[in-house]
Amino acid sequence: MRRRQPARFALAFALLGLSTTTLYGATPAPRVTPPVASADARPLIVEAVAAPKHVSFVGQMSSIRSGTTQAFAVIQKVEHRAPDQTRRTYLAPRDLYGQFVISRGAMSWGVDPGKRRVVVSENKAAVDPVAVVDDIALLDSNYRAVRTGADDVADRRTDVVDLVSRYTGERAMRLWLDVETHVVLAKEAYHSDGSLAWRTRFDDIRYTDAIPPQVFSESPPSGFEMVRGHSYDQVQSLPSAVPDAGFRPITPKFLPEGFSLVGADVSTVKGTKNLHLFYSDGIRTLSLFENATGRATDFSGMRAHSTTFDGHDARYVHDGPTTLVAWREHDLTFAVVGDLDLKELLQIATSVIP
Amino acid sequence: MNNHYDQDFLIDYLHGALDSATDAALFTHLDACSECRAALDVEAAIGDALRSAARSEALEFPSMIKARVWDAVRRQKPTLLDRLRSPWGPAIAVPIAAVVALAAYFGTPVLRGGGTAPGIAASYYLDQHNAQATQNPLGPSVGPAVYTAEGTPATAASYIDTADAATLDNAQGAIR
Repeated sequence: MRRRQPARFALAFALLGLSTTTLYGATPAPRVTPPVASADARPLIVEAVAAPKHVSFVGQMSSIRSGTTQAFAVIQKVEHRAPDQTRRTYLAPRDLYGQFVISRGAMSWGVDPGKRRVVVSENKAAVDPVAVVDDIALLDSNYRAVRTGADDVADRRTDVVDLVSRYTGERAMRLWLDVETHVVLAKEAYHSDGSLAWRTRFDDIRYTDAIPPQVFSESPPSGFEMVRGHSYDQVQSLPSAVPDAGFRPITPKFLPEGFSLVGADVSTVKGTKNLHLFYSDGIRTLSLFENATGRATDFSGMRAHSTTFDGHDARYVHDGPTTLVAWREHDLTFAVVGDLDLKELLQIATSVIP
Repeated sequence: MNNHYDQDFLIDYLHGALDSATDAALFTHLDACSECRAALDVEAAIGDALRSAARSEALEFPSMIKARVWDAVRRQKPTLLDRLRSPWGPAIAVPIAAVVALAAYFGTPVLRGGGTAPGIAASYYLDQHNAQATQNPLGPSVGPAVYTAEGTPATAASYIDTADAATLDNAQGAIR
């Protein structure tokens, strides 16, 4: 995924640099920082983003994604060794039990004992400091970070920080940041109507540097098949970096406030070049996929619904808080995916005019 | 009576899946054990609820196919034999037309996708989107995405991220 380098990251970059050098540069161990006096919690956010580079821990995390009528939970054991080694072992639901993902820098190995295979993926943007700073800059330009109080999570004292939209005044996310280590112990994201979209929370956490290296060993177990997963390109600037998909890319004329293009990628699927444009406002994300096959998106095995917009027939599915809408126009096939409500996604779809 | 049959036995009993000796023993036991009878009633009620839910989710026959069936029925000119069998006409014509229409439906992707063979899987799009969304330092942390570059569609193993996600109403781990 090629991502842009915006000009406005100076502040965030300065904050990130300040944070990493003064708070952590000299000593790798977590340090106590004074309580934040002012409500402006931007420094806390920057420290939270940098924390995993300096703090090692083991814990159990539960994640809940809220669908239209139901919520779905995943429980995982998280073992993180600073700066960039993480193992997530899935404990529940049973479909995932025993699977684990080891990530080290840009590489990740997803081990599925049930299928006896290892999926190897690479995302260079994940470790690119510019990409991280870009995310923070985008967040800062669209959201106010406000410290709203204190709370306890997993028997740890936390600062509670709300991220409030600068456009609507609505709270989009709440974070619980460990007062001592700044690790994000819990986070909740909300829909525009205030309902919970998803939540992650450490049920327990223990800070330790004594995690055996073999926990992060990526050597495949005997008899496992190695499968190549996704591979993303190095960060490049946009829009010139929008890769050649073999057709003229169409960008939406309408986006919700705060969203901007942050990445682009072309992958070949079933012999078809598929363009992926990725948008973000710092918290919420949106993808627009395009290809020139004119073939309908395959919803096999899914409970897809039909709808219409602007004279087009479309189909959509809900994936927890995420919704996908697919349609065709002329010889192009489009799909828009995001944690937005269907109405907003259809507005975006309407503005995609080949 | 201190010994009770566990849930697995009761479910197998309800489904007639026990061997005859065990079936007879359980049948006799139920007469004397109110706890097992109650447990059996619970299992039976769950089964009824599931069947009821399954019925309510029965797939609607595509309206295009229904239209083609009726069109085929109406277009058929009755032969002498047909006229002789007129009371049974629709009973024969409708199933035949339905079979023809179904064959056309499953054999011709144009009816399903509207144009050509199905394109890229929606699960792939969801995987790709989630892969990017989780790169955000404040983004969600969800299950592993399993879509591979070879084009293998995601399966149940991917749980939330992919294909199963679109049938989440049936997925395990749901909190109602």
